[in-house]
Amino acid sequence: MADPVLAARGMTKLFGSNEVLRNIDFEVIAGRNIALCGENGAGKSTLIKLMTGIYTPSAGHVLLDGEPVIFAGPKEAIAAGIAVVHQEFSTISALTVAENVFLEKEPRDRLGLVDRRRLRRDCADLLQQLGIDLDPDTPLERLSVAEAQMVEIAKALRSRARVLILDEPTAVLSHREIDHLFRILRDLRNQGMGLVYVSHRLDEIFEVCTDICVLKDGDVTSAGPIEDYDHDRVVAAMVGRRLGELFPPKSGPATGAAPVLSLRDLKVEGSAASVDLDLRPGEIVGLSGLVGSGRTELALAIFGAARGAGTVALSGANYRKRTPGRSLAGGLAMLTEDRKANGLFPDASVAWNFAASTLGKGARALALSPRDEEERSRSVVERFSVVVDHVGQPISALSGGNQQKVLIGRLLENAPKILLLDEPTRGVDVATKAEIYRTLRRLARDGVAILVISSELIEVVGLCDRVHVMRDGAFVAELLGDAITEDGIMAVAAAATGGGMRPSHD
Amino acid sequence: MIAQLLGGKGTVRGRKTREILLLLGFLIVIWAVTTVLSPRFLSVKNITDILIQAAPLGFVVIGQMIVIVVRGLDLSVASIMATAAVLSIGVFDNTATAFVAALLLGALVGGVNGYLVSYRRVTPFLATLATMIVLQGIRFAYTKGAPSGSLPDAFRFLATGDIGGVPVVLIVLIGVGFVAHWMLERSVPGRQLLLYGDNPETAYMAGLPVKRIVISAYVISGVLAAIAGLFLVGYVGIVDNWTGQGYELDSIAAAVIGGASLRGGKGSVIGALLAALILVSLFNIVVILGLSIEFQMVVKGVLILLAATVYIRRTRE
Repeated sequence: MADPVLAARGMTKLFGSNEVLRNIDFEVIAGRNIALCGENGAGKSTLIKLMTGIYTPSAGHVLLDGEPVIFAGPKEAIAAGIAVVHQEFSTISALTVAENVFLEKEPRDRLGLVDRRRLRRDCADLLQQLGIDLDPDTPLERLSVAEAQMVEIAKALRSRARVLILDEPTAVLSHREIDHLFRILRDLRNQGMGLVYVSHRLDEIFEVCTDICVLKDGDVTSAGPIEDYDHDRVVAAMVGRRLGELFPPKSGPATGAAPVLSLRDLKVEGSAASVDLDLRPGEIVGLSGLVGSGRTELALAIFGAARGAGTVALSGANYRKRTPGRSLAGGLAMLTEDRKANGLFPDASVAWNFAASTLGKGARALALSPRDEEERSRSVVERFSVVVDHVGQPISALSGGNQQKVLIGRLLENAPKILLLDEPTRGVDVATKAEIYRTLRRLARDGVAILVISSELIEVVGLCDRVHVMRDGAFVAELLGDAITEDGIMAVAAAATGGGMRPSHD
Repeated sequence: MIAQLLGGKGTVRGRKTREILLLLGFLIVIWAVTTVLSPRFLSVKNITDILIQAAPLGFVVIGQMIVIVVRGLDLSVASIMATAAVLSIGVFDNTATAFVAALLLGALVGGVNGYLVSYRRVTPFLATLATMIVLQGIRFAYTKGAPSGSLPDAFRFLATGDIGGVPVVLIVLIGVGFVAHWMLERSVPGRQLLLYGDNPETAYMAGLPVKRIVISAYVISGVLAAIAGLFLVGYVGIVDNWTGQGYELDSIAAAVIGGASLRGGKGSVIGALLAALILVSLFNIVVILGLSIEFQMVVKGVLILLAATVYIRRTRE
């Protein structure tokens, strides 16, 4: 194998007395794409920050072309040809694509003013080189999240980079957009760039990476070429146990009981197709399909947060004039996909977030009992091992995974009979995923009917008793028992792609 | 011990408590400085005067703060003050009837504001600007430009009288303040207001009655403005078409100084009342120190900037 462009040797980092990384060796090789995996808190981001001059190592050093270097700051790392695309966007929405890509590096004319013509041309060249189809003059606010991400990558690569590090780049992208991103990454790799891909989405890692390095609690637990790995081995290295153990045993689809939720000819606004579904107590039904296939819209229409034509019945009774408030009162609860947009009360405390849907459910209808709220939320904190100092802290101080746990706690507080879960484990670490899966199965055994939407096929396969595959707003297949496999779902979901497929966020 | 008093570091409640202590500290400092500069300031008489002067603003700022909590703004409060006073006193001879009529008018106008903002999705600025102007027109049409001016004695008593040495207006304000404080901090509707302001989308998805929440905020603001109008005409002694002029901006300023965030979801009754007291104290100080009255505006502006920068720094921490 070729010599590494960038490497970490014996990298150790202490925060106070807390050892976050221990004696890590890590190599980025030209023309290869290495995945850096690990649970939240495993040390992935710390390692990236050590190699790009944001942190200084407590021991060990960084090698550039085999020579030890010390980056005094991120600017020096960039100057050495190391580009990083961070999770948070650094683009400015009021500026155009070109202005963003060349921010603070705008080509100047003799008077020192920005040379707009050259700016546009340089940007167009760069975008073409990267295979990104965007107009340099478009203001960023008119772009989709995925396109903004492309701009972010172009920005990272504006000066000749030899190493590109992407920190969870696909968190906000739809499948089709991810495909596009992967095409670009493969091109860059073929041009001889060294890539680091930080993610905990295993599907993607297997699709785009050539090597893998797994961190757990600050140690490298496993590393090597991707061909030597499968899902199970990666998860085992990440959490120290096998994937199958994450999922509790299934109970099989319910058949006897009367359905608690029935959909007849339910048509989501903007969709031509309609849907029939019966959901019975005790079963977990998966809703699979590509992003944009209408899964989220369908769930919102059932819950009453989006319009839909057709019939929804709860335990046989027709449910008209649906609103979230009425749904919750009727035992139908929903976990939304986008925590930030409509899941969190960001400035409110953990306890307040937790109690938001059950205000006044106590003995006294009008008065609140802060102590009762705190006690109840503390029990959820313990049950899901939420990392928080005090339930009075604002929820925005928590990591995404911990926020998600609190929101699931809020949902269950309503004692719902029907749960609609849109990406229930997004951003959650594997150990907590297992806890969530166990909780859902226990609820199902107690007679709750659960509908799960998930982009993680492994989750759908491992968790669901029954899976409906959606495409363009319609159910195209129902899979049962052993027929529920990743390949089986993908085969149906991706067939005839392009026939009216839309990204989810327009 | 002190940490306990401050409500714990890093908690939402702790931050709120510290903001209120900060305001209280600021009030004590300006009072102390003024007392040193002019011993006339710290007399029971003068402090009572300040409190009575601040009372009408106190009613208005509580309502304004609640509207700001739900990401709104109520520009119609001053117009409600004048219109409620002019119409109710003009139409009804009986004081109690006039009082109830004024409150109903405030509630009605608040309801219209809330309806426009929640159901019609008009921006709060435009909705309340429109009602402000409409009310102004109705008022002038009714009085033909010159209100009668006379005032039943009962109103004079309410605004300037006292029960056992304590001014009636302060008793009412403290009562209203207690109820509002309890409502905001310890009741379901209050929590709903705060949560809605924090994230309206989440509030909707969490099943909160979002439209009712918004409307109730404007209704509360309208009713409190009407009460303030009655006390103010009682204090001044004449019913004037321009009663309460400037209270819309003063109340917004006081709410913000008192810790309400224009981005919503944040505000406290104690903070708002302290801020109103700070504003009126500073006006009083300008007079006591013999500075020209225009200085009041300078003081107000500087205070708003000060509050804005302090709170922004605190949020960044």
